[in-house]
Amino acid sequence: MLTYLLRRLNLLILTTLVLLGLLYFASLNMPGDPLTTLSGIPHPSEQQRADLTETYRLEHGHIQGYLAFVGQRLSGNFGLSQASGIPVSQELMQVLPATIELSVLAVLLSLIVGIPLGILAASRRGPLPKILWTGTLLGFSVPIFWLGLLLMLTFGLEWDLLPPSGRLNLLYDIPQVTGFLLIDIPLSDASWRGAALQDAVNHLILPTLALATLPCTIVIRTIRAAMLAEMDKNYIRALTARGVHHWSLILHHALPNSLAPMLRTLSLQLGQLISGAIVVEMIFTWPGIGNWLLSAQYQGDHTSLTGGILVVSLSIIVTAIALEIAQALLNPINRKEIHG
Amino acid sequence: MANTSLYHEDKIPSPWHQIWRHYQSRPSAVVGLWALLLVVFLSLFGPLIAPFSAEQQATEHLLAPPSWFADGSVDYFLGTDALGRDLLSRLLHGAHLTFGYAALIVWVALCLGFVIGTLSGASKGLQSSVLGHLLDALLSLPSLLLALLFAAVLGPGAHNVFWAVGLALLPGFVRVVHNAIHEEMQKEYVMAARLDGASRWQLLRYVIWPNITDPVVVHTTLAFSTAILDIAVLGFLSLGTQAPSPEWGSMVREGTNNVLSAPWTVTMPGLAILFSVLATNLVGDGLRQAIAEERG
Repeated sequence: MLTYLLRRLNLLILTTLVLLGLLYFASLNMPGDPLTTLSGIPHPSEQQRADLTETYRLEHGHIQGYLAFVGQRLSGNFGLSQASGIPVSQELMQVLPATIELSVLAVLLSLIVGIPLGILAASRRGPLPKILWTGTLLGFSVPIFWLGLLLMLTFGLEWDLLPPSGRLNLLYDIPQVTGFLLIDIPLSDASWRGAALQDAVNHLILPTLALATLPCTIVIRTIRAAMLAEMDKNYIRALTARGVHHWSLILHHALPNSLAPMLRTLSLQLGQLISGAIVVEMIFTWPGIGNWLLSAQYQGDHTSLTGGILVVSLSIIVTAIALEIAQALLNPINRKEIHG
Repeated sequence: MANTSLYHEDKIPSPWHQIWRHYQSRPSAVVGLWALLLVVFLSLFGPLIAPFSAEQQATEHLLAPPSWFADGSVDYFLGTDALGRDLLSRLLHGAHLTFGYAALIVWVALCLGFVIGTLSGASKGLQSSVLGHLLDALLSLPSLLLALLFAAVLGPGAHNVFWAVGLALLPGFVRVVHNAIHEEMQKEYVMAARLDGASRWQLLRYVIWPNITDPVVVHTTLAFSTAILDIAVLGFLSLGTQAPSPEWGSMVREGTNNVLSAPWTVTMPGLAILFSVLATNLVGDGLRQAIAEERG
């Protein structure tokens, strides 16, 4: 087990270094002064130039420069935002909670909806499997930006049921503690807490639905395939012969064994999920990292852009490896695939 | 009556022929294949059958509704956009930008991934590990982030789409080929061929490659539908092809400006994307099922 963990750690470090190398190479080749791109100071004075050249060791060749860049970024110095002059790390702390809140809710929703539907889709009778198969096929094929636009148009504008954009009505002024509105609102001591919470939930519904579509279809499909494979195995037949009830068989024996392939597929699709989150945030003007990255791109703020890309892809890497370790802990067979 | 001369048949159906027989027995897969062929035809010959050019503006018919509306006209079958451009013509002109470009990218990624995957899968130890894991760093970068990076370095344009989507697809292909070859190498028939004195090249060409086509074909159809969706997303965020181009994703973006008065400017290009991705997925699903039935 220790070797396994060490190998994963090794992989984490190597991927991070390759990623940083890619970003360093990109930063040097972006239009404009490399010093500005690295530090985020638009027009550095002579003194600042000298300091920055020293900090990023630009005169000592690419290797030294790369090591200095790695040191700066990993110690949390992402430079200043060229658009606002505020440190990029500070801006990231502002926008990250909104994205995490949205993505976590979407994944939870897709699990809550997807697992029961996946079990139902694995049944061999009735029209339900066919209907669910059609549904998942549509869910795989629909472009997420188009789905988001349609949801916003029908529920947000046409029928006026839900707010079409934003995260909270501007009427409510919630002091930021954790950045997660669903935690911050109950923590605040305002008398209109209930109304504010209701408003926050209303704002969440449409983006969460749009974002949950893809993971939900993945969950349904993988659970269905895994359940069908499990139900044919001998241990299930033995339990049936012993007279275990059908539903207890599914819930206590087949389902736990089907969750592992689902987790593996979901962790492979993390990148798709994050892309989806970025697009959904842009459509619903959700103040998260996706919207922030896109506006950095449109404004040509390359310091924020590289910082944001680094943080997003690092979180994908860390989540993927954490999921993999969790699977290895739950299921010893996975540990054999260390070379993977 | 059962055929008694089974072994005297001149023609033994090839594996692909048998898969095709399984494929044909699924109506949804056959419908998907026809739909896919239609999209391929339109992306090849769309500009020839389009009634107007992609940029022609009918100034007296701004935001004309589709022909089935009471005030629509058959001349502009799917209606016009805010500049009076015919939506049907733009969709036909844009088919090769979304669909054809996806085919090109998948083809290049498949060839490159096949070479790298073969090299890493057929070798052992450090070489295999380096080649196999080299691209894993890219796996954590979805095409959207790559496109943001490329757009910042190279400036916006269609080449971003090529690099971003291609690089995002490549690790998947390498992975599939690497794993498939690695798995086949453990089997005894490969050992038998090696004991017969087959060289490394002969082993790959005649023994292993014919046996890894199934996973590669299935992954290619998956990658193809991902590529279409990714290209459309990049067009929608205007990170790829730029404004006047009739790429389907960027058409949706242009439509959002008038979405309340003219919803068809958003729904039509969206339906075109949905249709082509759905056709691809139907074919992929049918192929996967047919291969699974054939392999028992």
